[in-house]
Amino acid sequence: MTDLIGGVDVVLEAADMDPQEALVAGVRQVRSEWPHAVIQDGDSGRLFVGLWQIPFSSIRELMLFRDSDAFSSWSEHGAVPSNAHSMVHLIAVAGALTVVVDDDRDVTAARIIGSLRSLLGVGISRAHWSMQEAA
Amino acid sequence: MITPQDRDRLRVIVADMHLERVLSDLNYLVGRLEEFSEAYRLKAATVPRDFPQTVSVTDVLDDYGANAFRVKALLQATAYKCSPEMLAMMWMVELGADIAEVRMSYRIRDEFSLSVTVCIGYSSNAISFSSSEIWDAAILRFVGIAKAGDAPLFEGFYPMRIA
Repeated sequence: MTDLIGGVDVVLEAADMDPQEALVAGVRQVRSEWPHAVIQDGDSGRLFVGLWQIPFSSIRELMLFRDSDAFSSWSEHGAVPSNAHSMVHLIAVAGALTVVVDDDRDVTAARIIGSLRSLLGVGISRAHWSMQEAA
Repeated sequence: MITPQDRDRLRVIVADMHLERVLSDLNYLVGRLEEFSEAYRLKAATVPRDFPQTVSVTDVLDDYGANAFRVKALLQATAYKCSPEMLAMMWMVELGADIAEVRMSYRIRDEFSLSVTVCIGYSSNAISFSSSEIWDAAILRFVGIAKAGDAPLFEGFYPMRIA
């Protein structure tokens, strides 16, 4: 019997943000680590190469594979040890973005989670622009 | 020129975003978006083939249903009177380009300059945008700020909440 890699859920607060914006932020962070990432809609299985192809308003979760080789290997073998550290799963709900990695101590995963935490925590303006004042 | 139908769609989107008071002049807005479209086309000449090479006003309107956040940031920046060149830069980033470098210079009552270089992550393409329009400083209101370890990161553009 083959051991399977597990998953660690890291829930990042994204208060006062639309889930789609949190998901965009997550995709951007993962792609800054993995520029050739293959992106898959977690519900429909639809694949995307670029950010511009993703209809974020209709998507709740995305899986990002490090590259096409990683995607092929996950498709063929699933969560086997040789596929460790090559996929990140993002799930957006109101007020939070969950980042699922197989080991949050992995250097790349830790960097993705750390930068996302800073971005979602304080890095995106929550300012409200009042049209009454602007006018 | 946009069609009357697109003009109506634009009016509805502006109202949906609560921007109708600052963007009450639809002719100005349409003209600005057409200038943005042309600026994008010129700058996108060197992007990888699979990256969007053009964006029309209709494309922007079509995207509102699927990616409202993207259109909101663009129209809000337009409301701030950002230049077509910087709007093109924002859109390229919204579509997936990375903000590689930003340089800003300002001297009171004398000069302002902003230059932004973006790159498409999976390629070596670098595209530079520049402006001396002070209103372009408003793009910093939309930028996502993060730290990757101790390294600085400008990560995408996000719309403001409008009350």
